[in-house]
Amino acid sequence: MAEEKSQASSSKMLTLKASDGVLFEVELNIAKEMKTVQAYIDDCEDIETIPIPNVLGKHLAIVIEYIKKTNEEYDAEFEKQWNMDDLQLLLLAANYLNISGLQECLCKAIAKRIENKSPEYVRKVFNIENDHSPEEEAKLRKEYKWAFEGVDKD
Amino acid sequence: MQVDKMASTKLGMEQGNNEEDSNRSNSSNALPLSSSGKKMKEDKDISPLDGDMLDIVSKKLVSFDDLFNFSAVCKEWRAVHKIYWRKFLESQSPLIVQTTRNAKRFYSFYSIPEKRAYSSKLSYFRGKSYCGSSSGYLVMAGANNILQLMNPFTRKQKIIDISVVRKDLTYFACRVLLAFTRDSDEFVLVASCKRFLGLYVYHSRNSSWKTYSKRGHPWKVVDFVLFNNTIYVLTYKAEIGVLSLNSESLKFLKLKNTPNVPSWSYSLLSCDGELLVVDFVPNKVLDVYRIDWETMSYVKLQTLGERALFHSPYKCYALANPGKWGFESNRVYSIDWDSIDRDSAECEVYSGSNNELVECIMLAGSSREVRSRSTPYWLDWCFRNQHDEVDYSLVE
Repeated sequence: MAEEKSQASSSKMLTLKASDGVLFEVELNIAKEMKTVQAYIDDCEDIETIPIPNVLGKHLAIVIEYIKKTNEEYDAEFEKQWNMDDLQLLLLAANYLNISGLQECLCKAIAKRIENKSPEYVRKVFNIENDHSPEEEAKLRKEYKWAFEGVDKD
Repeated sequence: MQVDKMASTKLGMEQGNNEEDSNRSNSSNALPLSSSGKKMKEDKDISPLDGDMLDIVSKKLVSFDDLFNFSAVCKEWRAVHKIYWRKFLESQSPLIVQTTRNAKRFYSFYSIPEKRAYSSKLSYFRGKSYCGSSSGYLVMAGANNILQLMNPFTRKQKIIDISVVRKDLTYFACRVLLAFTRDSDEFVLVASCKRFLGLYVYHSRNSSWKTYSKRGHPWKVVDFVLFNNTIYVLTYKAEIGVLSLNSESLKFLKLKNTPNVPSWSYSLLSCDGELLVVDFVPNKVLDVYRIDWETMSYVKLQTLGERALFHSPYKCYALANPGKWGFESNRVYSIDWDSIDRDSAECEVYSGSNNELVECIMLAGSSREVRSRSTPYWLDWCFRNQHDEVDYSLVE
């Protein structure tokens, strides 16, 4: 009897409503990967439509797709799809929905994009202000080329 | 490729996956406007990169230089990096530092328990000889009569002129120990070479070298170690002497049960408050002694107990409670020149009880810059948390 019940609940469909009104019908076990949604379901068992106020339809679509298809191969290709802005917005969505696998995947993508890049580039891309004092700046500049000066013949 | 193409087209997303796309930070090819009409840039007031996410990003970075750049972005990122880096440096788990012939400038630091390699860009090492690692510094001997000491963890460098002792120290088989004087940037460097087995000490406070045993006379020195803020020296006859920094002398301990077979491969180790003497040849010799201070004698150990040894052609180290750091007790982890003939290096693990080979660990997943298909150039153990300190006043 218990088995029947769980079988019924695993094929149960839920509706997620994105911030711009777009609706997504997903299976319960997919929705449960989003811990925020899981908490919502735990609180109100009979709910059928769950509002996701912080995430746009197009991002929610990507997130749902990710949950359905995630594996090593998919993840490796997934992270190449998006530009920096999208990565950040997807990460915002993943944070809000509390999906740790997607968070890791997106952070890894961001790390790859900032490899070998200067702090100036990173600030520009993330719209971050440089709040170092001039003394700190000077110290950082000195530490940057710490092992290269003076001794090498190129 | 697996992403649903139809869905993506419907969403108007671009399938760009190269640097050019991500470099363009204007929103021309970015998202279409949301239904509320706001442009994406304004939504950037909320950054997804809060402390937790920044922490994850920093852990995905492989190169110490990328981590340094990460910390240079702004105060918040620097704070995240500081916490991560402090924890990283506290680890007593040794890294295997190595370079390969084609790598030119990149040094790889491999962690066996994490099965991953970190990398760092230091100065060119072709034409320089590696002398050892001590207190987190990699010591390289250059062609122009200098020793270059580089600490990739603190990004500090020291240059020592060795013109004075150059003739007595052959570069390619050097042994060094770097120790700092407490609460000061001053340091001493103890040096010896395997050819002559002499003993020399450099003092930074007056930029001078002191000779203790010129070319192995009067003592043939095989190893030295810092123990209780004092430098202990081991001769090939297994005599242990205390090095006085204020005079050019060694004061030898009167120990009973000193091994009566001399050996060029004796090592002197400090482990969790104990002084050990080890003779290790893979599969052939494993003699481990503990110095018992109450009886003032050598005590032979039948097993390593809750210790692990880390052996390289340069030096031997001991680690207490290795289980805490991802290694096993009663084991000798050995990296050797022999393994360098193969395409990638490996670590052989021997039993501390009977010196039999227990396993071989491939150093997989080397970082991109240090390509595993080119033969390793040299490799050694590096303890990132090590910071030896001496006290000038201790020995008389």
